[in-house]
Amino acid sequence: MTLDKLIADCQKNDRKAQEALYHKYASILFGLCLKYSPNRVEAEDNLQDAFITIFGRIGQYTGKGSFEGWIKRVTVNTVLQKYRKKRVLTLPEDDILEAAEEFTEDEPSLPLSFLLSIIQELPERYRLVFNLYVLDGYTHKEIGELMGISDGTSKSNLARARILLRSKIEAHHKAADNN
Amino acid sequence: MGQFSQKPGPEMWTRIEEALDKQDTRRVIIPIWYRYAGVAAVALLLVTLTFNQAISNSTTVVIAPVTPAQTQDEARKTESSDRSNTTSIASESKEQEGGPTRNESPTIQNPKKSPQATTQRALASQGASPLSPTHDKDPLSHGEQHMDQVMARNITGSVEAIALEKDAVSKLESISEAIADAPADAIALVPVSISEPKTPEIQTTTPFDTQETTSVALVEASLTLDPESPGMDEVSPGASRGLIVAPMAGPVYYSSLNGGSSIDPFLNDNPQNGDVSFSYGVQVALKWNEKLTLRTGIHNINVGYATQGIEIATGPASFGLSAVNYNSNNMVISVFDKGTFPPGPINDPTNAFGQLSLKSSSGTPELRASISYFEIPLEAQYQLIEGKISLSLISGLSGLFLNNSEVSVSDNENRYVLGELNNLSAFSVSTNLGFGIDYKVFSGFFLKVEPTFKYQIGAYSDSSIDFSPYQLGVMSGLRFKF
Repeated sequence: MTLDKLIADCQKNDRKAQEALYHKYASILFGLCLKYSPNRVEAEDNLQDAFITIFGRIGQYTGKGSFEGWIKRVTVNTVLQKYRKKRVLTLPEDDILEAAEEFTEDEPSLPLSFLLSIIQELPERYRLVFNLYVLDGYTHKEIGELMGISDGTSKSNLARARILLRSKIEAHHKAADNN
Repeated sequence: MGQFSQKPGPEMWTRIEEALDKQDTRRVIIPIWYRYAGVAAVALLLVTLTFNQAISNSTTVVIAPVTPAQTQDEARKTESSDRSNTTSIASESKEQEGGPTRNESPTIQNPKKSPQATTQRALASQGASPLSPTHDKDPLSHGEQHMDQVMARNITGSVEAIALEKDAVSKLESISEAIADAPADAIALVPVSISEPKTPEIQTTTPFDTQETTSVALVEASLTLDPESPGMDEVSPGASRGLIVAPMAGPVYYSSLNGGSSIDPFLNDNPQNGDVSFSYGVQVALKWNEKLTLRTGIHNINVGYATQGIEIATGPASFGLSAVNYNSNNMVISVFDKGTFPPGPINDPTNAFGQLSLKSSSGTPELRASISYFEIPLEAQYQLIEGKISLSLISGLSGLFLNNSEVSVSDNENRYVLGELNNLSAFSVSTNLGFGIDYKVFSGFFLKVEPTFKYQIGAYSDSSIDFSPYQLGVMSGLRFKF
């Protein structure tokens, strides 16, 4: 079945097509949810909410742009909507802290599961900003609009996220050296 | 890491499927129907309007009181037009007046074959004048088939004429008896009351030559054509297209079909109360026919709703509500879900609450959105019941022009105006469906009440707002007919 046909059937609320679409994209979207969520349980909740939203709004997909990009955006927005609801529980407005130190998250020596775990351990807003900027290519302006924060705050949060990640990676390296 | 993927647990699809099933059962059909009810009703009424127009055109001929003279005239006209298509309107109207008809002699029908001839004889025997059309000028020019058609028409008309005639005769007899039995002074009243012509039409279509039968017809006319009756001013098409002006005012309730919040998504599941606001305007209507009225006007609609379950705090602009253009750019007043603030002071500088100052939380704080529109409706009103109290169905569309908006918060002590909503469309439409109840105080002056449901489409420029506003108004006012 072609993707267009699958989408068309999903727009008709065809349950089998919805299941097929789920199996086609579940892994990608679950990976996305894991990055944006503090743990696996919340990631599963977010994945469920994301698919409910996708099936509910699939009629709005006009065929312009990639479908995968569209469902990723829907998933990220679903997670961010939850974030906005509890935003005051996160972090203060920081002083602008420019990201002078670059962090390369793709260090080959680090296992993916470790990287995922330290990203998940980040405070919520740092994690979201880091994921949006570093892993999913959003600009600070876009992040500011998505999260209801200023560009400066987004930059500052990113810098602090990087500092935290670096310290954790260094601790990991030290622990590995000691072993 | 950017393309990181991981397979979720096998039970994940089952969870999603269950959630989808739940969502399907929660779906309500009625709101969807409501959304398009106004449009559907407009379409229905336009169709009705078209049919009504067609019917009213045809009823001019069909519903007009049928008299033997008219029936005969119609037959004559049909034949005349078949003979030559040059019959003038003037000659027709002249013939309808009856004078020339009575002077012309009926000749063409074969007495053995024509039931009409029998009818005419019967009429003649009752003292009525022969009313058959005049075909004596060229009787041989008619074909047999055409004759049958004419005869069929004439038979119908003659049967009705006989019924009317018999009725008239019996009435005449009863009146004569009454006159005979009545005292002399009462008798004098009879010709006065019955000989006064009510309408010229009645006189011209009277099939009887005698003064008595004319009087009987006029008695009937006086019984049926009561100038005080409600339908009288709508007999002529010109009179039915009256202009109606109605100043209206009343309460309007505003809320969302699917809950939600137009101010900030995090308020979606907070309790909300629609406001009942006062709206007013002027309605102008054109009576299209007896049943249908087209109307427009201009109204000032004030609507709003309040969100509860919140706490009010001041803080940096970044904590402001996303859909509000704040009056101030520095410290702003914002709202948060109730219970999100810790009870005590916050000494941790990394905690966001350190930057926020909780305002008075006494009473029940409310976040209120107030919106004002200028409404220009285009509606059709279809009369269902007519009488002293009339009932009608109203449907149509309204154009809503945004006038202004305001977002404010209040508790039991204070009210703070935050700014205006920045996600409202400057123009939106609503589909309207309602009922109109009119109470006739006296001719041309009505009290009216109109409970109307209006579903708003395109109210918000931000399509991600999951807020489907509707208005429920009970407008009332006075209606003047010119």
